Amino acid sequence: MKPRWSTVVSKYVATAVMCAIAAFPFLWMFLTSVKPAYELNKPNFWPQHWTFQAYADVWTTGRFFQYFLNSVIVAVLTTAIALALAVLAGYGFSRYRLPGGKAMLILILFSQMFPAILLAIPYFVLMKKFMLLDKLAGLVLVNTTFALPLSTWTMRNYFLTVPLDLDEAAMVDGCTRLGALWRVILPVAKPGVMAAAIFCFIQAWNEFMFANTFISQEKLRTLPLGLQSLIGQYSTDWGMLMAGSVITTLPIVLFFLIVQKNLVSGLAAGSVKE
Amino acid sequence: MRTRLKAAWKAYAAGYALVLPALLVIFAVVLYPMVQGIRMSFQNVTLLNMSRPDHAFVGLQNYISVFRNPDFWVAVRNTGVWTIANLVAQIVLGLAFALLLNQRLRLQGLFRSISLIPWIVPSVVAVLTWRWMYDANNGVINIWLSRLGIIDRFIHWLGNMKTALWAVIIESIWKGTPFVLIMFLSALQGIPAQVYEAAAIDGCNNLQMLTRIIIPMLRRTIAIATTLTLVYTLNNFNAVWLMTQGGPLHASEIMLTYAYKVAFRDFNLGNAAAISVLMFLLLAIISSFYIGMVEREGDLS
Repeated sequence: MKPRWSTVVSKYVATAVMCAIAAFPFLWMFLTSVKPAYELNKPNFWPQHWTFQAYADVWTTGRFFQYFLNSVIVAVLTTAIALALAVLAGYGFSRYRLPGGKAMLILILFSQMFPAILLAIPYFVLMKKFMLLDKLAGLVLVNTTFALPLSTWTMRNYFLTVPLDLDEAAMVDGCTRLGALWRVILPVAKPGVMAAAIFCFIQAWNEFMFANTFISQEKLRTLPLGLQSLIGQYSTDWGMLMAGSVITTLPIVLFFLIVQKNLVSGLAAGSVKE
Repeated sequence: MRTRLKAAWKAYAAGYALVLPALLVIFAVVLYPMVQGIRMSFQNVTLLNMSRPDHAFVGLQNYISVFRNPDFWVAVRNTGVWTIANLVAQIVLGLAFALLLNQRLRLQGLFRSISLIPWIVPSVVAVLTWRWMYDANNGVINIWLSRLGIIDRFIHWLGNMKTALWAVIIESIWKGTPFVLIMFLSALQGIPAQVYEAAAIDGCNNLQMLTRIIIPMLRRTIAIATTLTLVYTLNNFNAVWLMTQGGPLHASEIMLTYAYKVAFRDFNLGNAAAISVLMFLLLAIISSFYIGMVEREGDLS
């Protein structure tokens, strides 16, 4: 049975409208960033003159170079620490039937559902006590906690798909447990490691609330804080703000393209919705 | 007996050693602060005394003073509107778009990738871009709506008591729907083609196909998507904070931003802790549904 042409057309129209709504703000961000300031209040979609002045402005006078660096530092350290812990824990959970293991896994999953504000208040007090306020190290610590549950689950689920024979063969050949993990299992589990690493990175890269609460020095701002600081009380340079937004988004899009395939499978148990 | 215990210990010691570092971090940085947070909700903690080692217990005083403040009840009401509107819209739109993208289409891969854009864009970026589109002087929404003759003068979408909350809700729906869409799409791909064929032979029309076949088969996915959307929406700080900061006059204030203001603007940490404990109870109930579902799925054995 051939579908009627009107059904086919309405199907494509509906899909096109949905995609247009999904893509428009993203496109508008980019187009605003390449328009000269005097074109910003005009209704035209495409810029009449293309300019990358806003990028130059935001990178140097807007200090986005510094903010970019801070974000990289925080995200890379968070990823390294969270991943190391998650690989060990995920491997442990997947290879041993530990008494209490189930309770621990539930606890880890549960810890991700806490309202962040309930932690922000005691963190503020504790960080003040341990002199971690207004330090990038404090952000790394906080972000690690929020990245750890998901990455532990991702690694555990991935390791479960790696056959046990591999560990045993490696250990018969004289590897220790950790040796087997490092030399044999991790290379096989590379897609899982990549996915977990990129999740951690994205989480730390996008985090705003804790950074906004704990960082007050200008030179320690991460990119989300830098973007917020471009909002003026009376007027805002939207060209610069959108250029900064493009700079903030690019690494994430890049990473997304790398892990696109592994992304969806890790979702159900991991439950990231950001 | 002793040798058996010893053997058992040997078998598990390595396993515990592997999971211990992660658990320690979670205990130290999540559970301990959380207990502190709950304790603080029964103590008198302010900016001036917060560094002192112990605070006076004040019983339920924090909770009582929170309940007595009318601003809190405005935030509760807004949280209800905020949560329900987000939830209903994201589930309905997510399912509708997933059904659309599950059909045979040319350029299907391209359409699917484009539909995920809102999910990929960092949330701060998404919120600020929408803030620019809503702008009262140069925002594209005002420019285009007035060109089309729908509005006769520019509207201050984020500064108006009537529109502020809904403007933020629309951004949040835009940002959150693609995640629901992916979950539904992967569940739909798990329904074998024979199911549809059998239903078509039995004379099902499209609507019956949806209500009698597809929705019942997606029940579990709908439940998981609902809980995750609830948790995410209640925890969504960026959207409200970066567009309106809960204003004007608390018109778009949700419990989360209200607690944040009480904590880090008024520095009344005890009261803020009480509000976040109330949110925690709400989220704990929702998450326990989710964890129950993950458990029943057999994902834990």
